[in-house]
Amino acid sequence: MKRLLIAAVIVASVPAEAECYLRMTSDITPSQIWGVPTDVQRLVSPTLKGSRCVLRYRLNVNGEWRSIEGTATARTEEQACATAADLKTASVLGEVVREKVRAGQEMICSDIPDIQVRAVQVGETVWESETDVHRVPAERAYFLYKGTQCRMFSERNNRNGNLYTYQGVICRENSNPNSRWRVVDKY
Amino acid sequence: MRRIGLVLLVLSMVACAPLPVMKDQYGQPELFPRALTLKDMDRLSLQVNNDWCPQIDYYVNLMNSNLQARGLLNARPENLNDEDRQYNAYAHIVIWSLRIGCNNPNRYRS
Repeated sequence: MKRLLIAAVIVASVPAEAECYLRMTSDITPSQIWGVPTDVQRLVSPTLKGSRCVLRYRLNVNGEWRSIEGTATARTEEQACATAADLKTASVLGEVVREKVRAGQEMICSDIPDIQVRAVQVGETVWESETDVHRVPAERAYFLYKGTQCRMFSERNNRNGNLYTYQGVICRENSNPNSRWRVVDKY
Repeated sequence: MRRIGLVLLVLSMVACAPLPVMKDQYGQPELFPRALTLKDMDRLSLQVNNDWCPQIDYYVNLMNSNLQARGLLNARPENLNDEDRQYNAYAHIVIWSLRIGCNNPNRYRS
């Protein structure tokens, strides 16, 4: 019993594994950006000077979702997060690929959950950037359905060596501007 | 020869005819329209337009009843064979084109 208790204490004391990324200087120009920042996650901590805000969000750059991180310290939380939202001073987060790590890149590890495009199913709650934007430009814009903001998405899937493209609709779960999304249809 | 030409003309007219509301002999929408084929669905998905908005419920029901008849209502596309997947996709394209287009009239304006 004592051994079991010791083992349980050891397991409980092992910290959860944090995701690690390469932080690179952003070279994104406004013309490359499709839509607006989405899936905003903020981590605020107190400092001697006030508040430190780490703002992580997703931006669609030429059809590909990128994770962006901005950090700022200011007297108030709101000021810090407003400064952190400035794309000019933000960094792009990339996957850690050992062979490609270069000077000038910084590796960071964070507890903020990583978001990636994946296959989704009807009824699931998702981050907006877990689904790709629609391949057809005319279908990318948001629309209202039953008073809720929605958008179409594309999903590329490999099955038995064949590539299939599905499309579907996701809608906001509520009117909160940073709410999660519900997969309403996929076909 | 002339008869064959006439038959071909009639057949081509039928094939190219739009397939809007299925109507009965009194001009009312049919309660039990014939089952739509894959070709019908393909054609409808290309023909759908704003003129159909006043009958949006009719068309959505028509699509859903045909999906149901083929056992495709609420089907997961990953589980379907190619023909059913296309049929399902065309029906959903009609449904969402109407739901989006009729509620967001400026969406497709250039």
